[in-house]
Amino acid sequence: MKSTGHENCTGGHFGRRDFLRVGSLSFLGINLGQFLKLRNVYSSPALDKQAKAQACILVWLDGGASQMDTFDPKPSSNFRPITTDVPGIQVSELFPNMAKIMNKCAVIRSMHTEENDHGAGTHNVATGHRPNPAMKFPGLGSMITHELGARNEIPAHVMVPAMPKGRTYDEYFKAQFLGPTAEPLILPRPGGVLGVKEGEEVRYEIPDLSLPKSPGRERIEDRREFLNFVDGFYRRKVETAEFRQMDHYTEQAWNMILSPDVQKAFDLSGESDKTHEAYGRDAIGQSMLLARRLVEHGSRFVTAAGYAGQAWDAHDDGDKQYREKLGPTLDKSLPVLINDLDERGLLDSTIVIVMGEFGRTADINLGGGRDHWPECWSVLLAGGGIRGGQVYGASNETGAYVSDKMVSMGDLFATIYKAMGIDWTKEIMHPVGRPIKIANSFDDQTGQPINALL
Amino acid sequence: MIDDHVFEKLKKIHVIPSELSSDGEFLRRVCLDLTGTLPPPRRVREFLADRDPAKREKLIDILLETPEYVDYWTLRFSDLFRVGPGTALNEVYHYWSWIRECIRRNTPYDQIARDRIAAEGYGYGPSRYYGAMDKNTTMHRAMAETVRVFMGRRLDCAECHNHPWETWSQDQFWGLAAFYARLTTTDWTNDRMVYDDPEGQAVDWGEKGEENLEFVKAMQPRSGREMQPTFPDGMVLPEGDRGDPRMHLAGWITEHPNFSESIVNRIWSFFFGKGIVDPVDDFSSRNLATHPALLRELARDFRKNGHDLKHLMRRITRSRTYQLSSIPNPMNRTDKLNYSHSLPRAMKSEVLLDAISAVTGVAPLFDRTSSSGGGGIMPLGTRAVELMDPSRWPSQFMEAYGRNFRSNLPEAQDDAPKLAQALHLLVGNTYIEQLTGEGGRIDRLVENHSDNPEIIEEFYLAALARYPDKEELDGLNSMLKKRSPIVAEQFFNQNKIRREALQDLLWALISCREFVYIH
Repeated sequence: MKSTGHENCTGGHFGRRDFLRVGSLSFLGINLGQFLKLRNVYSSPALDKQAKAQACILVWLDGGASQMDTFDPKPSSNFRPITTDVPGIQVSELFPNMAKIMNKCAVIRSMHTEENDHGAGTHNVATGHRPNPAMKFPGLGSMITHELGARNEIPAHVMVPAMPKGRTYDEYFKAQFLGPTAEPLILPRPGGVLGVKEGEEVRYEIPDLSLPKSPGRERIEDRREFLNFVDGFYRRKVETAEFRQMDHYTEQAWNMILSPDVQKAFDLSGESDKTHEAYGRDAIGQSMLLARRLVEHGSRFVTAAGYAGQAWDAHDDGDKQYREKLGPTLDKSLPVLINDLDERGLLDSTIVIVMGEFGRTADINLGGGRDHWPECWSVLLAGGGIRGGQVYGASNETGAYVSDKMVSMGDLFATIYKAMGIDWTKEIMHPVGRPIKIANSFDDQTGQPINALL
Repeated sequence: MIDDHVFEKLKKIHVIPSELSSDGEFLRRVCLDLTGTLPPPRRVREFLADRDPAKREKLIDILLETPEYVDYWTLRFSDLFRVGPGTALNEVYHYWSWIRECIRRNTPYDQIARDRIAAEGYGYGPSRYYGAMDKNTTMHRAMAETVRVFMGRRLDCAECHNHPWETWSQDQFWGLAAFYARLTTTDWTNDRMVYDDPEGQAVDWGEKGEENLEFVKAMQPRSGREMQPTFPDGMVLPEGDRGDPRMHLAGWITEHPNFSESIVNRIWSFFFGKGIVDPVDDFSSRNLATHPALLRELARDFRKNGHDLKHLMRRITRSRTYQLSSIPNPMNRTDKLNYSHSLPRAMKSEVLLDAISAVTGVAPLFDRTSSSGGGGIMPLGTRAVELMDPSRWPSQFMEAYGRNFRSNLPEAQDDAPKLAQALHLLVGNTYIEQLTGEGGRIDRLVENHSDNPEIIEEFYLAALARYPDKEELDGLNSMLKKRSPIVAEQFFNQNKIRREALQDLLWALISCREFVYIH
C-alpha cells in the first residue's frame, strides 16, 4: 500500500501505523523489548558465518551521476556504448579503463528512490530512509560500524573528507543515536571553505594527530590525572550522555596519538610516487587512495568523497563536463582503486560502492544538461563477495524508468549487510520509541538481499 | 509568569524541581548567557560576598548594559541573519555594523525585522542580505528564509507542492514569493545595489536574462500561473501598493502572532538550550510547544513592551525557572523537557575560545595573512565573539568545536562532542599557546609569589566561578607538591618545573566538563 498525496515532499513522513502495530501487541502481554527479542529469535535469517566482506569503501559521486552517460549506456546519451571484458555488458565510451575490469564489477541498473533534491536525496541514499522531521537516522557506514565494531585502533568509520556541500550533509552519514563508537571521523576538506585550487596539492590529514615535544607524553598523562581529579567532583553531581561521549573521544584520541599504526595509516607519504600518480593527485584520486590505505590498516567503512560539491550535478553543458572532467577522473581513479585492492588481496574482503544521491533525466534540458532523477539510476559494486561481471535489473529504452527488478535502498543495504554477515532483518529501537529497520525498503518493508549478486 | 506555568506543569506531572542555583553557579551562567564572557575572579569574590537579597536582579541589569552584551548578541544575530557568506568584506562590515547598532540601541525587534525584510540600497547594512544571494534563487528562497527566521515556519515544502500536513498551499508560497518579484540587484562598480524595480521587471540579470525573468514573474510551477503578491489569507496586494511590496510584506509578518512567538521562542532557546517549540524554526501542527500557554503569554508581554529584547531577557533571567540548579534530584534526573533543573549546554565555539583566553590570560592571535582571499591580523586581544565573520579566520580550535559558516540558519549547528575536539584538547596549538604564552595568569601569580593554595583558589574562581572545596584544594595541593617536590622556597619563582605543573593543572580546569558547559 502506498501512502498518498505527498510523494515528493522533501520533509519526509512517518506513519501512524507503526505506533499502532507495536502498541497492539500489548494485549498479548508482551512489551516492545520482548517483541523485538522474539523477532530476532524467530526471524533471523541464516547468516553466512564465513561472510567475506570485512570493510566497505563508498565512492561518492556528489550531485548525482547520469546513468545513461556512465554504466547504463542508452541512445539518449551522446556518448557511444563500448564493449567490455564481459561479453554482453556495455558501458559508456567515457570509461575505457573500467571496461577492462567489468569482470570484477556488478552494476545495478534498476535503483529506484523517492527524493528529488540534493539534501533529501543524500539523506535517502545515506540512511535508507526518507527524511523525517521528527527522527534522525544513522547512515549506512555508522550502522555497519555499530554492528561489526572496530577491527583495531584505527578509526573504524572515516569520511575522506567532509561532505562537500557542508555540515547538513555530513549529518546524514553520522551515527545519531548509535553513539560515539559508530560516529565517523570526518577529515576536514583541504583548503577549507574555498577548497583547493586547481593544481594545488591535496592533503588529507587529521589535524592534531601527532604528539608535540612539549607537552610530551608524560605531561599529557599528568594532565589527564589532574583532569580526572577535577572533573570527578562535578561528575558525581551531574552526568550526561554528552559528558560520557567526550570521555570516550578523549580516550580514543589519546590512543590514536600514541599509536604508530594510526599515524601510519593516515600518512599518505607512505605511498610511492607511482601509486600517487596512478590514483591521481587530484582530490578524488587522493580520497580513494587514503580510503584504500585506511581499509588496509583496519577501518570498516570509508567514504571517498573527494569530488567537489555538486561535481556531478551537470544541469548545464553535460556532455562537455562528462567528456572533459567527470568521465576521465572517475575512469582514471576507480579502476586503479579496484585493481589495487585486488592486487593487495583486499578486494575479496572489501565492498566498493559507487553512487551519488540519484540519477539524471533521460531528457536533456535546454541548458544541455540533465536534471535530478531518482526514478531509475545505477549503482556500481565491486568486491567483498559481490560476484562481478554481471548486470542486475534493467531500465527502459531511454533509461528513465525501471523495466526489470526494481531495487530499493533497503535491498541494496540488505545485500551489503548480508555480504558482511550482518542480519539485514534487524530492527533497532530509535529514541523516539519506534523501531527502525536497518534495511528499509519502500512502504516500510524490510529490504531483501539480491542473492544473484552474492 | 514563567514560573507559574513551569511549576504548575511540574506539579501536574509529579516532578520536583531542583533547588535554586548557588550564587556561583548563577553568576557564571548568567554572565555567559547575557554577555558570552566569564566573570573575572574579582567579580566572583564580590558577588559571593554580597549580602544584598536583590543582588541577582541588580547583576542582570548591569550585564544588560555592558559592551560585552552588545558584542555577544551581535554575534548571535549575525548568525541568524547570516552575515558573511558570498559578500565582500566591506559588505560584511555594513551588514554587521547595522546589527551591532540595533543591539546597542536595543532597537525594537519589529523595527529590526521590517528593516531587514524591506531593505534597499548598497551602503545600507541590511540590504547586504540580498546582496549575497544567488540571483537565480533570490526571490522564493529569500521569502522562505524570511518566513523561517521571523515566523519560525518551514514553508520550503510548498515550493513544489501543497504542504503535506500544514495549511500552506503552493499558491500561498508563490503568492508570498511574488512580493520579491521586483527585487533587483545590479553590479555597479562591484557594489551590488538592491532595490525594487518600479517597472516590476528585473534588469541586468546576466547572460541568462530571459530564463530568469520567468522566476521574476513568480510562476506557480504546477499551474503555470503567474502569482500576484498575495497574503496567505488570499488578499492580493493592491496595484497602488506595489512600488514597495516588501514593505507591505514586512508589515504583515511583524503583525502575525507567529512573529513574536518565534523570536521569544528563539531567545528562550539561547537561555535553556532548546525552544518551547523545538527546533525553533519549525512551528507546525506536528511539532507542538511543550508549554503553549507560556509561549503565548511571553509573546503577548513582548509585544506589549514594544518588542524589547532586553525586557524579554530580563524576564527570562529573573525567573526562578532559569535560576534553578543544574544538579538534579532523583525525581527529575531524566526530565529533559519540563525545566525541572538546568541542563548543561555546550558553549558556542567562539565563547569557549574567549573563555579559555580569559582564564589563561593569553589572547589568541587572529591572523589570516597566509590564507587566500586577502590578509590581515586583528589587534591582539580581540575576542572571537567580536569578529564580524569568525569563519573567515583560520582556527583549528573553532574548526574542531564547530563554527558557523552561516550558509544555513544557526539551527543546523551541531554542538555534540567530537573526536577532533579531544585531539585538539590533548595536543592542539590553542591549548599549547594559551598555556605557555608569556604574561598570562600563571606568570602573574608566580611573580606575585602566590603559594599553591592561593593559585588553586584563583584558578577555580577564574574558570569555574567558585571557590574550591577543601577536598579539591587539599588533593590538588598535594598533587602539585608531588610534581615539584624538591623546590627550595627562594628559587621556586623561576622554577620551570613548577610552571609546568601549574600549566598542567590549568589545562585540566579549562578541559573539564564543568568548564566547557554552561550549567
